Amino acid sequence: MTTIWPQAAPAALNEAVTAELPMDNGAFAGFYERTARPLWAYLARSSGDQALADDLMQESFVRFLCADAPTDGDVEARRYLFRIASNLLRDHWRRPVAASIEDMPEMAFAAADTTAGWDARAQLAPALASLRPRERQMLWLAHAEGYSHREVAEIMGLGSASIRLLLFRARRKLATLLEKGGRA
Amino acid sequence: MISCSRSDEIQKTLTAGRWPLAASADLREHVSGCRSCAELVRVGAAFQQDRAAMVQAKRLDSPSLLWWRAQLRRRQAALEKVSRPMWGAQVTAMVLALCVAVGFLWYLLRDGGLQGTLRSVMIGFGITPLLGMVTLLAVLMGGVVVYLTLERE
Repeated sequence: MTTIWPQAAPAALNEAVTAELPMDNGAFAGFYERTARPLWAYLARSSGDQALADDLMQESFVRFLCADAPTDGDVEARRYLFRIASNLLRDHWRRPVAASIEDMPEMAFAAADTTAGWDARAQLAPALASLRPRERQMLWLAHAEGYSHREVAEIMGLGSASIRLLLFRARRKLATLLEKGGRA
Repeated sequence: MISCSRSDEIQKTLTAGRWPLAASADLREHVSGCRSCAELVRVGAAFQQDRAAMVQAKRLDSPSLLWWRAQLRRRQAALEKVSRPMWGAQVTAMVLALCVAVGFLWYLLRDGGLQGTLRSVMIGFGITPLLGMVTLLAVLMGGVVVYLTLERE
């Protein structure tokens, strides 16, 4: 059999097979180490499902690598990664499934952190369960990740004008719930 | 919406993990008297504690597996992009071949000469010209469909 590969292969095909990712393996390992845990925490708290958070986190990183993501700065790349994860969450919630995530977080949240005692963290889980997914997302991004209003809007694909009011309402709702001990 | 002018300062203090021990006495005093800032502190502190605990508890898989998966997916996408024009060329060639086959059949099944003999043989076997043409086309198309399906797989 005559071997035509790679000399006679069309240039485009050759290029396709040797397609390189925008970040090398070492750089990616460092980026993953710095961002995977916070990303997982965001996904787990927003969805209320740790197994789903595992899956979405992996998919987020794969999509991040496949896309021409900004790799010039950690801050930009990290924000881009959170945006991918937020889109995946939104797609997941839009998917018509029998056991919708909208129906299950209360149980999922209540099951977590039962041993943590009566501190703010233990109250947070059931309180978050009473909020809407979008409210959980924006509160986490603003208060756990420390993103500005503009950045939260960018990550969630919302208008930056409305985010301040939405965030204020969600925070007030959560603060009231925390004051009552985390229960709606 | 009531927002305090010091909320940004408090937010930064919380995010940096400086609340309450490393916060100024002035800021702590302000929070104890401002409802909006007290809410911000309550919510922010709960999130910070929760985030720290979750981040600490999470065990990560190797990044190499994700790296490999991404590389595989990217190459697959690139290959699909390259093979799209080839697929178009194949379909065009098949359509042309089909046109030629139909033309040839039409020519064969006309009256007179060899065509007339072939026609009479077909009629002798109980096959009408139209049925013969449809059968031959079906055989041809079947081959094309099988080929394209196998090639796609």
